[in-house]
Amino acid sequence: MRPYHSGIARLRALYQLPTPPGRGAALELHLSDRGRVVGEHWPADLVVSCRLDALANRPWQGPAGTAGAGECQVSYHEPLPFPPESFDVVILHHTLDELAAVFRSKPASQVAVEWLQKIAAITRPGGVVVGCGRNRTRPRFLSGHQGTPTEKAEIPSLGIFSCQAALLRAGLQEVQVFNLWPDAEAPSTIASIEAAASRRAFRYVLESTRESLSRPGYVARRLAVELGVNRLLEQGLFYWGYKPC
Amino acid sequence: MLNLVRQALTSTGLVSAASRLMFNITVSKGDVISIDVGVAGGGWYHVQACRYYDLGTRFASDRLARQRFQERAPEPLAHFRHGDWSLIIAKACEHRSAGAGDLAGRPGATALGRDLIGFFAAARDHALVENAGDTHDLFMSEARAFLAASAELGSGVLSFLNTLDTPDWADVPYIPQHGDFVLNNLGSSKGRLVVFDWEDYGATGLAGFDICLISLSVTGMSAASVRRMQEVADPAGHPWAFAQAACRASGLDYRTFRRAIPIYLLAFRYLKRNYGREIAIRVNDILREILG
Repeated sequence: MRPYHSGIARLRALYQLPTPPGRGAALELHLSDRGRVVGEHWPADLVVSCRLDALANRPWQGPAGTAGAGECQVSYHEPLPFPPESFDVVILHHTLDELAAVFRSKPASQVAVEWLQKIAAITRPGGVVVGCGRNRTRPRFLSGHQGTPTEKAEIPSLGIFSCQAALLRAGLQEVQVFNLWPDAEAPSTIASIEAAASRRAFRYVLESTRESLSRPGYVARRLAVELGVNRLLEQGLFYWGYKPC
Repeated sequence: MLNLVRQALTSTGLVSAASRLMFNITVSKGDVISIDVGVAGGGWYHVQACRYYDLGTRFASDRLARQRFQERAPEPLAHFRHGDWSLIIAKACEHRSAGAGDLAGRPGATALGRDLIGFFAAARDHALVENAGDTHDLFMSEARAFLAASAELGSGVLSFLNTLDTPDWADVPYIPQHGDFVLNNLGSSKGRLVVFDWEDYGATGLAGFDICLISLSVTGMSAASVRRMQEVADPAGHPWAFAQAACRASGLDYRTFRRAIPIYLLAFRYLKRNYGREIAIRVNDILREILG
């Protein structure tokens, strides 16, 4: 089988794109099993997969005795049990949206910013926080009313611009935000939300499907592309930001 | 890995270290990551990155293609290696994918259709005049040796392989072929045909091979399409109508082309030996149906 044939292989390749040189230490924070990206071949000397839950019963004991890998479960009501500046890569696969669904009494974007700040604190200088979620600026009617059980366990916490702002507020730099498609479990493309890049990516998609569109349908879509509207409507978001050295 | 992309672009002098870069990234089912890199206020570059093998050979093919086909092939700029990673940088070419409608219909009815015939005429400029037969013999003996070991092809295909000999390709000119000339690898940029993915360029020189592939890509890759292409003496009015003009541009008799279709498919199966199982199974099925 070719290396990126499976959806999870492509997903891992995308998550590895912004990682700093060297193997270092990687942490994945997740609430559900959906949020599992790191596997045994993840290129890091230390890989910690940490489940956030209402109950904490398997705290992390630290790298000693974990043979380079570790699993833990901690309460999302408690502080993160990791020393400051201990990870080179922190992965948040749907994590912010799942946390927003847990803390429903607070605005979702506030939950995202608070957690990004906690996460930035345990990221080493030069390290990267990388994640994905659903795009909050996508109108609900495009997503349907019911949603799958997985989708119900998430609240889109950030839109394309608020995602950028939240990462910056958490003290991260060189922030990049992307639209992701076709879906976050088996992705193929991430396209920058910067106007020129976004137009270029969506223009390619539109022009390559032009044969199947009516003339008015094409004109309307082309207008949306040139106005930069598509980036607001696309469902998936992918993002990263670096902790300053 | 994106730090390597930046390093490659700066070390080759294409961007300055302080440039702000934008990325559009595609990870398809193959083994290469494609990255369009935009320089804020500047141009775009297309980077292919692979950690499974060196892209040096592909870069050499890209350069040769650019030299021979000019603006119909993207302009390769640099090849860069660092650790496990191998990168090729090319000037990005904003385009749309070609569709069947761009090529189907009356030959030359569309700009892309005209360019397609022009492409085959340009390819003929690089035909090998002397020892063409020997070169075909060598390629086909390699292909036969590989295919003969494949039990999945079935006895009918293997019997056909055993009957093949020099006279079967004696009247097929030797013109280096693109090798994967399918719609996915064709695009339209500013209304002109652009051809991508030259990694197999020159792997075979069986003229008509590319015409066969693009005809099947437009018509649908199936045994039924292959049979129709073999049976129909005049393709006018069929989706592969361009094939006759393309053969003429290649100096290939259309009857010879039709007769050689099973040989092209066997050659395609051989060239795709290192690709995914999906395509191997598909071509095997077609070969079994038409030769089994």
